Parts: sequence; C-alpha cells; structure tokens
Amino acid sequence: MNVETQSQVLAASAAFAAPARPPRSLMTEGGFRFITWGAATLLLASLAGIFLLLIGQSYPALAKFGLGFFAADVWNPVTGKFGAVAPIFGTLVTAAIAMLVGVPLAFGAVFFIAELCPFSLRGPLTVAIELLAAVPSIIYGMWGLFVLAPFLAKHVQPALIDSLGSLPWLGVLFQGPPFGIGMLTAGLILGVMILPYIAAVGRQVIAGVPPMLREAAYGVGATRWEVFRRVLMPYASRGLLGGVMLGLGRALGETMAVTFVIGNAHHISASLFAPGTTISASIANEFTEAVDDIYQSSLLTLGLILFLITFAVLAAARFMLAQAARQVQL
Amino acid sequence: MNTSTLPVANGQSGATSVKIQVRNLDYFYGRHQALKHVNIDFLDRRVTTLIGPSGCGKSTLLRVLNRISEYPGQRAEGEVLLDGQNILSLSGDLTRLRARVGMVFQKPTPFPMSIFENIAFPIRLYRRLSRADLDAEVESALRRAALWDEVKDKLRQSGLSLSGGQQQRLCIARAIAIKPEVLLLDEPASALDPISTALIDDLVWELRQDYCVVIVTHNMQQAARVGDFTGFMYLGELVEFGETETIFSNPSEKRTQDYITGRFG
Repeated sequence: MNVETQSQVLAASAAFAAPARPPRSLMTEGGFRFITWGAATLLLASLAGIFLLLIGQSYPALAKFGLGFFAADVWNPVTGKFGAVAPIFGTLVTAAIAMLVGVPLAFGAVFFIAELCPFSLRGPLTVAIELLAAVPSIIYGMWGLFVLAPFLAKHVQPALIDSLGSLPWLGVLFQGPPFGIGMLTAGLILGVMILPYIAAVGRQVIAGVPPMLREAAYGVGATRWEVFRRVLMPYASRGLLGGVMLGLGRALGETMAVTFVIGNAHHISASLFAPGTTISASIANEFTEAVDDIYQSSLLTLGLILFLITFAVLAAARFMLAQAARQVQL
Repeated sequence: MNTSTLPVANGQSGATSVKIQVRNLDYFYGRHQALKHVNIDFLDRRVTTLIGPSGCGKSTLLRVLNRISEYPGQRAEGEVLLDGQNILSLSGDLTRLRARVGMVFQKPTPFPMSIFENIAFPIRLYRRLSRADLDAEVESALRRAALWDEVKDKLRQSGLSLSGGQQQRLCIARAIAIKPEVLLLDEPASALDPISTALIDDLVWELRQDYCVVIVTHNMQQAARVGDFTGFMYLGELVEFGETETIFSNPSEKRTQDYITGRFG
C-alpha cells in the first residue's frame, strides 16, 4: 500500500471515526517503514559488501597458491611465498587459552556475585567487573608487554619449565626459552579481556532465574554449589552460552593487545612459550609493509579466513543454543 | 486477640502431637512488620490451613517455618519450635532443616532436568542408593503424588514439558521423595484449573496420614475441604484459630465471619 492510498484510507475512516486524530508527528506510516527497512537493508548490504570485497581481493593469492594457502607453513615476503597455517594456528590456540582462563574465572565471579557475596558488595563488584570491559585494548597490550610478560618470564615460565616441562605428553607445551612474550601471554591477556563480557551477560541471566526456582532448590536441601550446578546453570544455559560465544568472538578477533605480546613470528611451535602470530595481529603489523600485490592479497585472504572462522563460531553457537533449548524446553 | 489455643478434642481418629510450636513470632521486612506476635501450634498428621486476604502475613509465616526466606533486611523474633528445637536459632547449614520441612510453591518450580531426575536429584542429596532402589523410590514418590500413570512412559523427558497441574504434582512428589516430617504448601493450586485443584486436594488428604501439612490458600472451599484446623490471619495477626468446622460454621470473631462470607478481602 503506498502512501497516497493509505492517507486516502485514513481520511475515509476519519470521516466515520468520531474524534479526528490531530497531526501529532511528522513521521508517517510509510516514512517509518522506509527508514526501518533502509536501516535493515543497509546492514545486510554492508555485510555482503565486505564479504564480496574480501573474496575479490583474496583472488590473486588464492589463484596463485590454491588450497595450499590454507596448509602451507610459510610466510616469506622476500620470495613471495605465503601460507596461512601459522596465523590460523595462533588465532585458535590463543583463543583456546583465553577461554580456559576466562570462562572459569567469569563463572566463578558470576556465582559469587549471585549467591555468596554480601548484599552491599554486590553493586560495587558488578561495576568493577564491567569496568574491565571499558579498559581500551591498547592499555591491555602495554600492560602485557611491560608488566605481565617480564613477570611471566622471570617467575612463572621457569617454574613451569622445571615442573611441567618434563612430563611425557604435556611437556612439549612447556619447553623452550622463557621469553615472556608468546602464545601463553597473549592467551592470558585475552582471557582477562573477555572475562567482563562473559561475566556481565552471565550475571544478568543468573539474576533472571525466577527466585521461586532458586528457593525450591534450596528448599530440597541442596547446597549452594548443587543449586548453581544443577539448577541455575542449566536453566540459564542459553544465556550463559551466549556470553561465552560473545567472549570467544572477541578473543578470535582482538588485535591490539595481542600484537603487543605475541611476538609476531610466522612460526608454529608446540611450546606455548614460543612467539607466534594471529590473523589479526599479522594484518595489523604487516599491512603497511605489504607493497606488492601478492603480499597484500595474502593478508586480505587472512582477513577472509578470520571472517569465516568467526562466522562458523557464531553458527556453531546458534546450533548449540538450539540444542540446549530443546533439552531444557524453556 | 492472638489466640494460642491448642484444640485438643478434634474428633479425628488417632492420637497426635504438636509438631511445630510458634511462640510470639514477630517478622520484619525492613521496618515493615509483617507478623505481629503470632502464636500457633501445628499438629502432626493433621492438615492446617491458613487463610486471609493478600498481604496478611500467611505466606510469611509459612516461609519462616523452614527459613526459606532469608534476605537482607528481614528478621524474625520469637520462637519456632520444631519438635521442641528452636529453628530460628539454628545457624550455618540449613539443609538438614529443609530436608525435614519440605515446601511447595505457588507456581510449579520443576528443575531444568528430566522428570526422573527431578525426583532423583534431591533423593541423592541424602542417600546413596543402588540404581534399582533409586528407581523404586522415584516410582513410589510419583505414585504418592498421583502422577506415576501419566509420566511412567516419559521419565526421560524434561520436567518442564509437563502441564501446569502435572508440574505441581511433580513438585509435591519431589518434596515427599526426601521423606520430610512437615510439608508446607504455599497456595499450591492458585495457578491450576479446577480438575488439577481437586487432584491436589485429594493428594493433601492422603499426605495427612504421614505428615504435618500446612497450607496457605485463598480458596475457601479448599480450606474447608482439606483442613483439620484453620487459622485466619489479618494484617499480620492471627485473628482466630481452631477446628475448621468451627471456624467456618461458628467463628467467634466478626472479622473471620466477614472474610469467610466474602464481605471483605
């Protein structure tokens, strides 16, 4: 229905309806529809545009290296040979470390705030955790480079090498020189960075559990841990998982802090102490130096890969949420 | 005004004893006093109903009996004696108390797990049972709650997939599965249809053989039908307490009569 016929209809109905509506706003029905439609379309169009641009720009590299680009552990601007394995590896490993560190910490904080902490502490503690999210990532990077990395190199990594380094299977993760900068440090920083996202979402969904359900669980004599593990967590599983995925998305894409502390070496090593690189760190570091076409195209292909990884994570999250929803039937 | 009469000749078969004695109970939400000097006895193996208009303190009284409502700014003064022991002075771990005094809420509160687990989870908190014994306990609890026939073929499904009336019976089954001594029901049928309500009433009558049952209700028919004793509360006071028949047919307080006949509240 276009605007004219609509206003005709309105005029016609106004003749029947007793009190005519005074013109209250400039926003007509059609205008409002157009604006909202435009906003939604623009979003989709920019998403599609980014994707198409990335594919187009990646084409030279993909044409030259083929699928080997995804499998080659080589990154040599001088000879013009590029492969994406090292940055993909670094991205996944640092994100995994970040999740291992960030998720338990965040859940612990959520549980403490929701169930154990004295009422007067609840507000300040919540604000403090959410303030972590307000710290700019470059500050995290500088803190990591100047404080955390030297500390790890001096105190933590030598101890880990001495104790865990000699274990049969796990040992390889904790061998090599204690540089301070490397995958482990980057992962730890990321863990702290994603904590506030997971905790903020988690606190909200746990607070949204009906008080009666909580009381019923305490009412059958369950302890605080049992209530949290068996009742609150499953009930809030969708929201909690949503927060975790938000954190994971950030851990995969975070650039600045990681670039500071990861060492930026296109190199795969089993040791967590070894320098490495991630997709976003590589792009940020090298884009200004990428003078020839194939170099630049390779970096843009890395961007495409990150795009696809993030997309896959979000899709997996959606799938898991749907599964969880079917299990609990909320 | 605050009667503490213990009705002795109740005409019902079988001797009974006082399970819970409430003595001079005051309850405060911050500065608001929700209970004023309440004295009441709850007899073992009898059903006591608490009636009164909204906000009169009957739910508060119920929630003190297993100390489920412990939030900042709330406090209770007086004594609540469970088998002679003052539960208000208990400190630390309250899970033992809550195992002895079970509670069912206004709205069904099934846990987010399977029907079977809804019953088995609380049982496992207290006893280590073999698989076969656990199955038997779950079945017996569901049978007692008149739910077994409806759910026996779908024990693995989520407890949240049941209808409202079934969910409430599941919660009653869950409460009795851990063999409490007292069962508190806070308007158990307020969210249910008449057929489910009748089922719950029958169930309460059954449970009376083994438990001290306390029910808060807005439903006069329900109070008259299932209660051995009835207490009428108004503005935080226990106005009148006695045998249900007396309260409903010949109340001594005008306020009680007005409420029962629907003149206010």
